[in-house]
Amino acid sequence: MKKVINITLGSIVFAIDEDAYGALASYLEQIKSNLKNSDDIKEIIDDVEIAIAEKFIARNRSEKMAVTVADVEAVIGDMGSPVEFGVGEEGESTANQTDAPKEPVIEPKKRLYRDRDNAVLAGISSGIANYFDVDPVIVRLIFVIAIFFNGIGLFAYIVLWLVVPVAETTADKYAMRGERVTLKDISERVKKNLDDIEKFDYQKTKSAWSPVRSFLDKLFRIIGTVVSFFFLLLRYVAGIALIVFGALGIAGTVSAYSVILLSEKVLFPAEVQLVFETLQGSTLGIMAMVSSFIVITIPLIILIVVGAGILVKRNYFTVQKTITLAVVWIVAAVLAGTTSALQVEQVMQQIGPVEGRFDDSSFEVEWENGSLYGNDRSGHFIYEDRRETATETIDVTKQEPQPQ
Amino acid sequence: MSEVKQEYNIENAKSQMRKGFIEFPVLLIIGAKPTYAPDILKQLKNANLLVVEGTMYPLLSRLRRSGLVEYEWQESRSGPPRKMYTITIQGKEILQQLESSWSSLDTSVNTLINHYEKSN
Repeated sequence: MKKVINITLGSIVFAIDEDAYGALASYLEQIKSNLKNSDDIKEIIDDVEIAIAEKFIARNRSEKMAVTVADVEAVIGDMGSPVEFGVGEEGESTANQTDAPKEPVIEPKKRLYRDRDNAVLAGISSGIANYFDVDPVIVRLIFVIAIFFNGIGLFAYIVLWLVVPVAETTADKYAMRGERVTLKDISERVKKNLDDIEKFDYQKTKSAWSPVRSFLDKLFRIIGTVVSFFFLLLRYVAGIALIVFGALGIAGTVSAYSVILLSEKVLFPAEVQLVFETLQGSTLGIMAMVSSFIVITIPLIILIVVGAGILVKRNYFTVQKTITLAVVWIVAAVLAGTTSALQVEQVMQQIGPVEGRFDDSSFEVEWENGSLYGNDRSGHFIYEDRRETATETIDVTKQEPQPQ
Repeated sequence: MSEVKQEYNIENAKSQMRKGFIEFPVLLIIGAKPTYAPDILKQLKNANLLVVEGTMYPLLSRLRRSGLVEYEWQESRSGPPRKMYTITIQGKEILQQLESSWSSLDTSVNTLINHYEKSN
């Protein structure tokens, strides 16, 4: 005696027994997983379903006679193994197939899933155990022990419950164990699944846990969706903020520099103007400006790239790029530091202490300094008249070449 | 430095040979007249070009995506709706190119076969 399920294939209704359904469902699933990188999985699967429907009809399966495992196996035999679908799809893999005719080319990638088939609570421990190939009991013990360390175990368990998906489909379960999928496995797996289902159902009715468990599972799924939505939001906000910040920073730096470089006739106090001119006038000054520009802009560019990376979930920084950027930045920083230190010294020498010129009230104090500088440079004393002092000093700097 | 000797798989070589150019026969069939997918398979089998059915659907979908063929849904009284494939103008152009390249390939391979048979 077998349960019979109604399914539609290519819009035709078929009655199919449980075993046959399992086999057919996993066959279609395998095809799908072989078509992973194809653009039109849906179209191909529809075609395959229609073809299977026609074959079932050709085998005289009316609504009164359920499709059996034998039918499904015969049809699968006609259609070919799921691997064939992948091979036809990509021209490149045909070449690989010649080298290793029977083996799938890519090693299956193991993924962390919650294994609800062997679960005590949410299937997290058994999932982790699958991932690391250890006994789930050990993982459970670790969780329980970790609860006594400030509840870390509990916290970790809840976080994992929120984050790790359940292995729902057969393909998920394969990925969870890191097994590769072949047609031969499918029938074995289907048989095993059916056994499990029977056992599982029996356990489920007996277990007092199950309502609690399914309630918790639903609750956590809802919380998980909400949390992941917030993370998504946070990601977008952070990404956009970084990009905007970086862009504004670069715009600000560029405009500041262009003001310095193009400032010849711009309205600035004479002293500031003088600083700019000295900066532009010597190689040292230009070097100081270029290197400091690099020092400022590299982190801003990194901010923009990181922001973009956060938005599209990609890491653009390879080790190579990071090292190159770091080296460039360090070189520029050292250069900027030394050149601008030298430059400041030069500027100071050329125009003297800037403060004294602007501030009349402090002139008496600064006057001492002013005369000192005058003495140092050219043995030339400052006049007593304040206004003339100012003009005189500037004249001196313009006429006389740099000492040094 | 041990070279693993790989056994030559004749079945695989044959299937590679067929797979490599199967698009051409499929285009020929659809080009002759609009055809249903199962009929394409039947004609291939009749022409002794046995392909695994599974490779057919990705191939048809790829041909459609490249604009060489298109299909229309046709209701069927006895079974599911079927796709009737027809060749496009672009498909005809490609088919002509494939045809000429096939005939040149055909002559070159035949020349080599004749050469081989004479020497034996």
